[in-house]
Amino acid sequence: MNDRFLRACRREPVDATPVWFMRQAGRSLPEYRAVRERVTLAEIVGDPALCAEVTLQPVRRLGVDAAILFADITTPLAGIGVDLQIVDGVGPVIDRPVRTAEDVAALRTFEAAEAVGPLLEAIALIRLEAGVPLIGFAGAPFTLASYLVEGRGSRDALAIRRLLRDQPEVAAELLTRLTDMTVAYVRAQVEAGAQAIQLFDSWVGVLSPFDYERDVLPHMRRLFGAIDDLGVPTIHFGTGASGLLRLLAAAGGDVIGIDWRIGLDAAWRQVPDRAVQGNLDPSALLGSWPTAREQAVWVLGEVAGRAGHVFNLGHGVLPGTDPDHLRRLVDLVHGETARGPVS
Amino acid sequence: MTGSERLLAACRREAVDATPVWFMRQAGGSLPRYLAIRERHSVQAIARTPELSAEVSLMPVEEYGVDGAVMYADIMLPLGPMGVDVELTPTGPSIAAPIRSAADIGRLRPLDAETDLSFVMDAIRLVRRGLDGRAAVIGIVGAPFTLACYLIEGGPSRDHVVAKAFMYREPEAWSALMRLLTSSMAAYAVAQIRAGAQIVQLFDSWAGALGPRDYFNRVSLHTAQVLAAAEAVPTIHFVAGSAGILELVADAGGDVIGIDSGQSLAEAWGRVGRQRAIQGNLDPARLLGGWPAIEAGARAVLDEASARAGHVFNLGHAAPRETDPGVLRDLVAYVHESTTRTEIQ
Repeated sequence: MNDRFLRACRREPVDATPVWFMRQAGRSLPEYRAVRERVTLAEIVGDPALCAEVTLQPVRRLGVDAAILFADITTPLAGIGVDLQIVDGVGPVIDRPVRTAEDVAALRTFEAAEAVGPLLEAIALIRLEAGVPLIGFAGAPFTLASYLVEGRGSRDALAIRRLLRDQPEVAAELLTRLTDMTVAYVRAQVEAGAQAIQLFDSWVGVLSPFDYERDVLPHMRRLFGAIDDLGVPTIHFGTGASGLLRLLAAAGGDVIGIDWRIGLDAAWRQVPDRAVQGNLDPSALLGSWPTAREQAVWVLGEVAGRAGHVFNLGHGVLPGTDPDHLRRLVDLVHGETARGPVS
Repeated sequence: MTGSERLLAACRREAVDATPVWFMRQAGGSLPRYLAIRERHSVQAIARTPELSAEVSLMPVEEYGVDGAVMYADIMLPLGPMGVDVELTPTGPSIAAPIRSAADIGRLRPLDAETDLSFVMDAIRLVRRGLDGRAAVIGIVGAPFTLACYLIEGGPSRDHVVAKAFMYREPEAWSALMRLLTSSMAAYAVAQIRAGAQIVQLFDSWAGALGPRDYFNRVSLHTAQVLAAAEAVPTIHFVAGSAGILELVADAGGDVIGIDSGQSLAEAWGRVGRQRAIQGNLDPARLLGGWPAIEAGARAVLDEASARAGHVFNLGHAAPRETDPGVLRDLVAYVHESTTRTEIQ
C-alpha cells in the first residue's frame, strides 16, 4: 500500500510529499455528479456500496495518496436524536434547534452500529479497494454545537456563542454530549478500518483566543485524549484559525490543518512539533493552470523541505473546480518533491 | 485631556490620561434617538443629509462618551457616483449589475470626491464644529480590495470566491479596477481631511480572505497608496481576520493597526512592532452578554495592552446593531476609569 500519507503524518521520511484534497469526493467530479442525479447525499451515506464508490472516485481519477470517507459532518447527529435535513444550496437544516437544558437532556447516547451502520460497512469496502490509506472524519463539537443551536450554518455562529455567555452550563453540557458522541463515532470508524482521523472545526475561527481557550479547548483536549489509544494519526483542522493555531495544537492532533489565510512557514513556526497539512487557496484552482501551479509551487517553497508535510488545499475543493487541475496538481506535488525511495 | 486630544495622542503613541475608546459602527445601532430618526428617514436619506448624518455621528459622543466620532457614512457611498447602482439592505449592500468583465470596469467613472460626496464633507464640517474638541472626527474609507469584492460579488459573501476567481482569471482587468478604486479612495480620504477629519480609518473587511502571497502581490500596494494619501492625519488601518497576514498589513501602512478579535492583542502588537499604535480588540459578540462577560473581556484586552502608550480601545469588529446602548456607555466609563493615569492629569 502507498503509505506516504501515514508516514508524513508521523513526520517520517517520504519518497514524495503526499497529497489529498478536502472535499475531493464531490461536486467537482463528473462521475460524482452523475451519481447525485439519481440519489441524495443522505442516500449515498446510507448505502455502503455507493458510499465506497463515491469515496474511491477521486482516488482513481486524481491519484491522491489518501481516501477520505464520504459523509457530512452532521451525519452522526441523527444517532443522538437530532432531526436534520440536508437542503441543497443551504446545507444542514434542523427543524427544532437545541437551545435549552431540556433540549440537551433529550439527546440520546450515540450507538455507532445503530446510528451509522452502513457507513461502517462502507469503510470495510473502501479498505479492500483503495490502495491508499482511508481517513475517517468527524466534525468538532463546537462546530456541531453551532449547527444544533443555530439550526443551520451561520457565518458568525452567534447563537452558540450567545448560549456560551448566557447559559454556560447548558452550552458546556451540549459540548460534553457532542464530545462523547464524536469519541464513539471516531472509535467506531477506526475499529471498522479507518487509518487516520481528521477533525473539522469549520466555525472555530469566529472565536477569540480567550473564548476558545476557556470554552472549547477543554472539550477538544478530552476528545483527542479519548482517541489517543487507537494509534492512528489525527489531523486537527480549523478554518479561519490563524490566530488560534497554538491553542489548536495544545488541544491535540498529530497534524495541524492550516487554511490558506496564512503562510505555511509562519503557521508551522507556531506548531513546530507537529506535522502540517495544507494550504493552497482553493480559489486559485478556478484560474488557469499556470496560476494554480505558481501558487502551489509557492506553498511547497514555504515548506522548505521540512518533514511532515501533507499537501492539501486550505479548505474544500470548490464546486466549479476543473478536475484536470486537481490531477495535474497531484502530479506536480509528487514531481516537485520526489526524493527517491525511502527504506 | 479632551477626548480629541486623548485619541490623537494615542494614535501618535504619546502619553494619555486614560486609554481612548471608540467603537466601529457606533453611529446608529440601537440608540433610541437614532431609531426615532430612522422612523422618518431611510439609511440612504440620513447619509445624504448633512444635518442628519452629523446628528447621528455626534450621538455616540453625547450618549456614550467615546473619544472619537466616526462618520455615519457607509464605505459603499462613493460607488454610486462612480456609476454603480448600489442599494443598502439590512443584510448588506446589494449591487444590481455586478462587475464581471473589463468592459464593466471601463464604464466606471473616477470619483470627484468634493463634488460627488459634498454631503459627506458638509457633515464632517458640522460634526467637527459640533464636537468642539470633545472627540476627534474619524473619516472612513473602504479599502480597494473590499470594495472590489462587493463590486464583483454583488453583495456580501463568505469567501469571496467570485471576486478571487476574477482576480486570478483577469489579472489586468483586476489591476485596472484596483487602480481606479485606489485613486478614487485616496481622493475621498484627502477630501475628508480637508473638510475636517482628524483621523482616517481605512476599512478592509475582506482582505482576510487572502493568503499572504495574494495580499502582497495584488492588494497591499493599492492599500498603501490610499494610506499614503491620508498621511496629513493619523491613519488607522483595519483588516478583519488579519492574523495570517498581519506583518504585511502593517507594512502597507497606518499609524495605528486595527486588530480583530480572532487574535491576541499582545501577540499582534509584537508582530506589527512597537513603533505602531494598535486598536482593538474586544469580541463584539461579548456585547450581547451580560456585564460580567463584557467586563471580563474588556479587562483581558486592557491586560494585553498592558498600559503601553499607543492603545486605542475598540471592538475587534463592528458593534452588533442590537447592542444595548447602556452597555456601550458602561464600557466607555470602564475603560476610562480603569486606565486613568494620574501622573498626566
